[in-house]
Amino acid sequence: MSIFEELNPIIERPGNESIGDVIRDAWSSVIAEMEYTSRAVENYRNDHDRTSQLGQDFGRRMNYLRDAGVVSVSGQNDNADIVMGMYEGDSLGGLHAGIDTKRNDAFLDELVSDSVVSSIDHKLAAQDAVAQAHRNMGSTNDPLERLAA
Amino acid sequence: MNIFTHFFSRAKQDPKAIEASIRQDLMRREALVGKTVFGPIPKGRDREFFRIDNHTWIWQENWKDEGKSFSITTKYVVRNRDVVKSVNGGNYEKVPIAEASRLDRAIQTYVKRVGRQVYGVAV
Repeated sequence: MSIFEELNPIIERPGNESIGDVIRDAWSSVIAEMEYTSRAVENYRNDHDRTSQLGQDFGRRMNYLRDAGVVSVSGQNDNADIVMGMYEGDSLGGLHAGIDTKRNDAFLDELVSDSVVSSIDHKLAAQDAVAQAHRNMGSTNDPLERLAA
Repeated sequence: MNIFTHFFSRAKQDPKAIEASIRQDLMRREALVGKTVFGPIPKGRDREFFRIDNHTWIWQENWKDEGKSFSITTKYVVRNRDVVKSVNGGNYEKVPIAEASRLDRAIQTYVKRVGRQVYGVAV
């Protein structure tokens, strides 16, 4: 017997209407919880898929730059224009990078504005790295503020 | 005597107190259904699966082995874009996609059963 059937004789008494509302509210919150969880897990799955793809794209781009002698991953080539140490962090494939560079600001801005580093994790990593590179070069033109805007 | 008979057998009650008692009893009834979500419970084992708050779920297993008692309580918090958990009061950690998907399926099963068995509603 459902709770509505069980309580119906009581709910129907004058003055007890709010009891039915309490039960309906409780049921609505159960449904809302199921819908919220499904949306959250779907968001989680989509973010994971997108970030994994971005991480792969970012890795390919870094490999290309490394093969071209522009980027040295983990300091393998001290003469490269950019020395980057990076590793894959959490399950989202967040890349944590540190860059030292001899390149100019325009090249660095191009690096972080590229779509392959447009995810939040990658963007933050790139922002940190580029900001560090700017500091290393003594630049006052910190891209962090522009990108955060 | 169930909780409703108990309350309404009295001549006068504070409506707020009655509402609070009904909510509490609904949670208790939902928790009884939640026990069944993961299938039959092995002999000597006790299981709970219930919601304690918005977006917060508890999965608890208790059992005995060679006279010793064991208990694992996993608290899941569903956030907007992921799920985190704390086991036996430990640090929160993000759960893998597969575990989040299983929790999602468990909650859907929970809601279907609670709808049918407690609220008399088909989902």
